[in-house]
Amino acid sequence: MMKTEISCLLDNELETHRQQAVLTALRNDEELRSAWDRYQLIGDSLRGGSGLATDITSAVMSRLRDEPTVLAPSSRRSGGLVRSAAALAASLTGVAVVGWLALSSPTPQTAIAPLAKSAKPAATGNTERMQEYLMAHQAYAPSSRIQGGASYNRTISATR
Amino acid sequence: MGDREADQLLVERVQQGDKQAFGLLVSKYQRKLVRLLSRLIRDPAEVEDVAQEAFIKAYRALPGFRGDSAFYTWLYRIGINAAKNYLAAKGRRAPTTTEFDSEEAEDFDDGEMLRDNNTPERMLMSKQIGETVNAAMEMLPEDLRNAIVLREIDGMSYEEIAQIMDCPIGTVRSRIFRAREAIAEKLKPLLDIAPDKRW
Repeated sequence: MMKTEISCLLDNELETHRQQAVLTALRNDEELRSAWDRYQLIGDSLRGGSGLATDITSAVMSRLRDEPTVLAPSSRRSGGLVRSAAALAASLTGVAVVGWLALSSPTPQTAIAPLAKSAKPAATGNTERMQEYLMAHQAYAPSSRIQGGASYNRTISATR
Repeated sequence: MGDREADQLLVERVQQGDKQAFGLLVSKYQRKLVRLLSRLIRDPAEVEDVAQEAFIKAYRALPGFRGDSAFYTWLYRIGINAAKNYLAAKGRRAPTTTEFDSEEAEDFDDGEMLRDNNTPERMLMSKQIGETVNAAMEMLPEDLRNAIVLREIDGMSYEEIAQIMDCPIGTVRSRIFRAREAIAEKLKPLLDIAPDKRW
């Protein structure tokens, strides 16, 4: 059965779904490779080719044993490039979104940090005004839409 | 799937790391390449050395082969360059008949143009192989002989052969295979594979 498929492969008539299996069988079975060799020789002979005694396959394959195994870096690389580019694009998009959010309005944490620092020297007048400011602007902070009054509570507790 | 697609299948297999698949390509094109190089190099032993070198160079360059041309066209160019380099290293010059374009390469029919550069032993072996194949063909049942002739000499697809012989494609596949096996059986005593010829 396998030799029939090798005969078909030689004629470019093997079904696509069987190709890899047959090639694997050829890789692993010397007798099948000999059949391939004989079928090729028969074809060359029938087509009237000269030099039928030529047989350098074993010599070439023997030399190939010392050669590094070639792979297709261009196709592998192009697949990797696509994946890397997609990942990079996703990362950049994410960074852009985060950056935009960060720049568009102050977060409670960023607002708290300078407030906490400024609170340490105990400039109480400024602190109170800042608290009022923050409380008034909590509604406009992105986090407030998600967490509701919790950020307000944190703000109050953080300043204390 | 044509010949070009079949070769591309083997090339991709090699590009995935299957070295043995390259042996299938060597087995397929070795005689054609040797006949080509025999036009440039007189000594048969040198011809085979250069052919081997060309195949090794082709293997190394395979990662860059994208299938823009047929595999044999690409191999042909590597072979010609290998021969020129070899001759240059020997202080010899290649004949001017090396400037074939790619279309000629694909249809290259060495026919009578070639000087037979083989040794007497090789010529005898080639003659015996040819005679054995012809004798085996004569002994084949007509339907097997017709099928393999239409395939190997006329280059027809299984579908075309099925139409000509008015039989199913599966029958064509079976007839060609049985013809090959019958001929291969007759060739076995001639080709008893010596250990150093196995791969």
